[in-house]
Amino acid sequence: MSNESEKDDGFAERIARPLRTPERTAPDFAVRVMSAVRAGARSEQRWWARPRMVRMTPLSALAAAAVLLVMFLGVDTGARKLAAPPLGERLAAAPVVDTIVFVRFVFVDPTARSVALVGSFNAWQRSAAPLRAAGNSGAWVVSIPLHPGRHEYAFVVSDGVQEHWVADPLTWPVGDDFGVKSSFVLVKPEVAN
Amino acid sequence: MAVVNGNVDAYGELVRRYQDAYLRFATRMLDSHDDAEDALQSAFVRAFRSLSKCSDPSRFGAWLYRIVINECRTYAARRTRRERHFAADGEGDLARVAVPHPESQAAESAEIQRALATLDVDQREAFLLKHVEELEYDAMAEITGASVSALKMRVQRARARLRELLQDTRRAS
Repeated sequence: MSNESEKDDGFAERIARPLRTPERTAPDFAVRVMSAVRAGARSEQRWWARPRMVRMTPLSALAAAAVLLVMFLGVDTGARKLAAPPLGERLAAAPVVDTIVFVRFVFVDPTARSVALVGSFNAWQRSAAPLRAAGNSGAWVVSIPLHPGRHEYAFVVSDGVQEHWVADPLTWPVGDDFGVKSSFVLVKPEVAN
Repeated sequence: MAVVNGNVDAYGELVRRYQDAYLRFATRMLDSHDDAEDALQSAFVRAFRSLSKCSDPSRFGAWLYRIVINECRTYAARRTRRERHFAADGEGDLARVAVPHPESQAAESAEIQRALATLDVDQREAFLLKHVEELEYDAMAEITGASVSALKMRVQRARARLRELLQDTRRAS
């Protein structure tokens, strides 16, 4: 090895050493990941398992029956060539459309003892998405996966004695029929570059 | 492998096994612990949804690494866009200032991390995988999808650029 190369390795080692300090995830990291995984798994199961009401006129019912008949009996009409590939092949070939966007919620209150995010996405359950304190700055943060669409939310802030329902001060509040204020976030689907 | 068959609880074990190991890479790539956790969380969710594409379960770690790397690239690109268009937006600043990197108190580490952040994503990624994560070039090629010669070139350029940047900083101080 040449002197130049050795010098270069020594330099890279000097730079890399402090960067090798281990990093630790937040204590609730695995729990957050697994709730996101479970939420995703549930919504993926739901789309096909969800019961649907189909309204048909007599004419469209006849047309649908004809299509089904051609699919099952249309051996001589060339329908076999058009038959769909096995499910496994279709799943493998289908482009993956990712519809989950991670949204970070930030709430600032140095006097709070705990802050929870409640919203239409977690059935307004205060234990579903606790915020974590970001250092000693008084900022509380949480990131959660949301599907594109409009989601209402609010923060439940505890000062150690009482809990308060607070709309996001960084957005325009919306009120319900009972005058309770909350906020909403619009999630747009991520467009691939 | 139970996980590949969609066993959510078994997947939790894998999350716990890999979370800290990959967090270091993500934190150095994004220069932010919070962004790194977000990117990692997103990568784990994506990985679970794509488990059927993990053709060799015994290579799950490398397969997951590739997803983490891609997620870091996406986050880095998104942040570049955000900083370019919303330089005055307080949230990004808040996240960066409010949660200082644990090593930022050490001047040298902060200086190195700043220099690293100025490298382009490919060079930063190659430098970190080679010198911080201490991977062999073959493993790096498997994970990144780049050729060994391209990776060697990236590492070499990253080293040269870092040397230049850090020497300039020291001369200036």
